[in-house]
This record gives sequence, C-alpha cells and structure tokens, in this order.
Amino acid sequence: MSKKNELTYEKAHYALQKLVTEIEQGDVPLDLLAGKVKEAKDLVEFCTNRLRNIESDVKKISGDE
Amino acid sequence: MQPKDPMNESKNKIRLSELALDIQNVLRNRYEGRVIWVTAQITDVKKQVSLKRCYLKFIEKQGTETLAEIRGVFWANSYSEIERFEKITGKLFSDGLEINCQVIVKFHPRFGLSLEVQEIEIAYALGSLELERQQTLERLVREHPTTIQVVDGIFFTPNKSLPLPPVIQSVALITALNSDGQRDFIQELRGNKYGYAFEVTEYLTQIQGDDAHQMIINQLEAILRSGRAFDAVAIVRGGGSQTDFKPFDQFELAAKVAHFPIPILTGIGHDRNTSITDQMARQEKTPTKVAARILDHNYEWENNLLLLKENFFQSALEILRSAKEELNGMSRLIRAASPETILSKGFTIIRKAGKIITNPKEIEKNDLIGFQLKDFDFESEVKEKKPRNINADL
Repeated sequence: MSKKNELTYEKAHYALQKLVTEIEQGDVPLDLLAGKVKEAKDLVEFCTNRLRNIESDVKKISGDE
Repeated sequence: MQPKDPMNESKNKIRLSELALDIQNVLRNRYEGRVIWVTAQITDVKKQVSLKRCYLKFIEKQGTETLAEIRGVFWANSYSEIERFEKITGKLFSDGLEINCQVIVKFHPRFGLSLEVQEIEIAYALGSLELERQQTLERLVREHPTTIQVVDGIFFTPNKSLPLPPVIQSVALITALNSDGQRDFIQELRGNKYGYAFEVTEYLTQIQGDDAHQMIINQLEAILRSGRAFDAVAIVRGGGSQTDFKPFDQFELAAKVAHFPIPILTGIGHDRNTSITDQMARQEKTPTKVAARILDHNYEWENNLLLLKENFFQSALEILRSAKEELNGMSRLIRAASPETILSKGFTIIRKAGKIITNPKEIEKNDLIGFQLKDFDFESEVKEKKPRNINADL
C-alpha cells in the first residue's frame, strides 16, 4: 500500500476486519492466503502499537492532576 | 353634706396637693385591682435600656383627629414584655405600632395620669402584623402579575429563577457595618476548608429603622451601577433579639429584590418569621448559612468535575481494553488460518505445474505433483486415483 503514511487506527481496523471476514468465510484462495495472513498480521501489529501508545498517553494525562 | 369632700369645702381653701391626692383616691377606688386591657397606638416611645424602663404615649386617632392620649410606662418589672414582643414578632417596639396590653391606671400627684403596662398581647401583635404581611404579598402579586406568582404558598419570582453560576466567586455583600452578620458571613467564606478564593465587595447600609429599606434599595442600585459581573448578592443581618423585620417586609424592597437581575441570597436571621424579602429570593436563616450554601454550591461543582474526569478516563481505558480484546480475537483467528498452522497439523499443500490444487478432478493417474509438508517439499507421481469411502473413515 502506498498510503502507508496516512494509515490510522480506524483505517487499519477497517482493513483488518475485512480480511478477517474473508478468511473466516473461506473466501480466500489458498494461493493468496499466505499473503493475506501476512497483511493481517501487520495490521494487528500496527493496531496493537497504536493502542499501546494511546493507553500510555491517556494514563500520562490522567496522572497529571 | 359631705364634709370630707374637699370639693365641697369652702372656696379658695383647697391646696393643689389635696386636689391631686383626691383625684388619686378617686381613681384608685375606681381602678385598683382591675385588670384593664386597652388597645391603642403607641408613639413617642423612649426606651431606657440600661434602666429597663420605657416611656411612651398611647393615642387613639380618628382620621387626623386625636381622640385620646394618655402617657404610658413600662417599669423594670414589665420591661421584659418589650423584649419578648420584639423577639417573637421580629418587630422593633416603636412608634406607630398598634398594641393590645394590660395596664394599671395610675395617678401621681406630681406626674399625673399614666398607664403602667403589665403585659402585651403578642397574639394581637402577630395578627395585625400577619394581616399587614398578607396585604403586602397580595399587592406584590397584583401589581406584578406576569412576574411574581404564588403556587401553594411558595412565591416564584424572576430573581429566584435566575440560575446560580456554576461557581460563585464574586459576591456583593449588603450588610450593616461592624455587624455580626457581616463578620459571620466573611469568616465562614474566608476560612473555608476547601481553600476556595472569594472576592467580596461590601455595600454597607443601615439594616434597621424607617429608612433602612430605601437604603438597601439604594445599595442594590449601586451594585447594578458598578457594572461589575457579580455572581451573587448576599443580604445578611446578624440575629440577636434587637431585631426589626420591618424593612424586609416593605413592598418596595420586596419588589426590587424579586426583579433584581443577579441572584440574591438572604440571611436575615430570624427564627420564627420569614420576611417578604426572603420570599422573593433564595432564603437561608443566617449569614453563616448563606456562606455555607455558597461553599456547598462550589463544592458540588468541583465534585462533579472530579467525577466527570474519573469517568472520562475510565471510559477511555474501557474503550482501549475492549479494542485490545477484539484485536486479540482477530489475531487468534488469523493465526489459526495461516498456512503454517494448517501445515503443522499434518495437512499438505498439493501443487501441479506450480499451481495449488484444491479440486481432486484436476489430478489424474500418472500426473506429476508436488506437495508440501511442514518444512519439506516433495515431488511424486500419482499411482492411483479412486473415490474415498467417507464412511469407512468414521
């Protein structure tokens, strides 16, 4: 994807959901499965990192009395 | 012949003191031991607080004509009646009141006729005060039908329905100089345990006496003229027995308070009565309670804010938590679907001419196929092809 710079949690989450649905429903040709799984894993990692950053930001702010 | 009667003795022989003593006797015979209740207006009231004495005049008028006038006095034995009257009615014992009281008729050869008051009928005083109050309240509603309304005995005024600002910090204080009310209010506010800061601007006035209501109105107008954005106005007066409610029952002051554009809190400090001014604004009993209400109001706001903050962060963390959970779920699903996982369970991937085959119809006997099992690739030739008997497996 060329729009890597613009990736947000929302976009990543949306793409991830779409992939998961495809995989779940068995729509993915086996040829493409490995690629799709890789893509999904990358998205999971991106989302997890985003969540960690947000969480630490929120905790930092809430600790600032 | 009545020889003992000096009036009938020979002319020019009677002395003034004899006449006076005679009058005294006549009156004593007529009135001694009699309980007399008299209703009259009082005037020329002169209290000598330290001596516990009070001189006054009883008068009865018809229009402008005075029909009767007799001096009156409270001696130390009955002076407490005045204090009781003031405490219960909330009115200063002063000129112009109409009272009903029990008197002894006295004639002194030198000081003349006077009525010595023994007791004041408080119920009568309360009755006439109440009547006056009711008339004033009715007039307020009658003259301001669109703004002042009464429902089930509770008055609704524009001032009462003004919302208090979320935080009260700037207060205009109407009070008497060096009064208990002034001191109590400021002390309670300044010494608050929360450490809230207040800006109190004092508008000093008389709070008793005939002109007091006009002076309070003047100070309300001064508050508006100042152009300052006060959060609230406090009208306070210390308690104590020497209290006069009259200014706060005046029509003009009540009407002014009812329509005043800044919320007014009153702490006029009377146990039994509620003044009419109180009924037009937010009433507390004492100056200290007005200050306490302001503190409570601010504390409530701060408390809500803290609660809101706490809830906000809890909700934010909750959103994150459920997002993480969802990600974990998806992650498990992806792992389960990945080719590595499938192969690790003993499944193989079959290719023919480099293409993954999922349909058995594409493979025939003697075909060359490759298959992948875990980390190994195999090349093989199909020796046989026959349909599976699915039931045999079970």
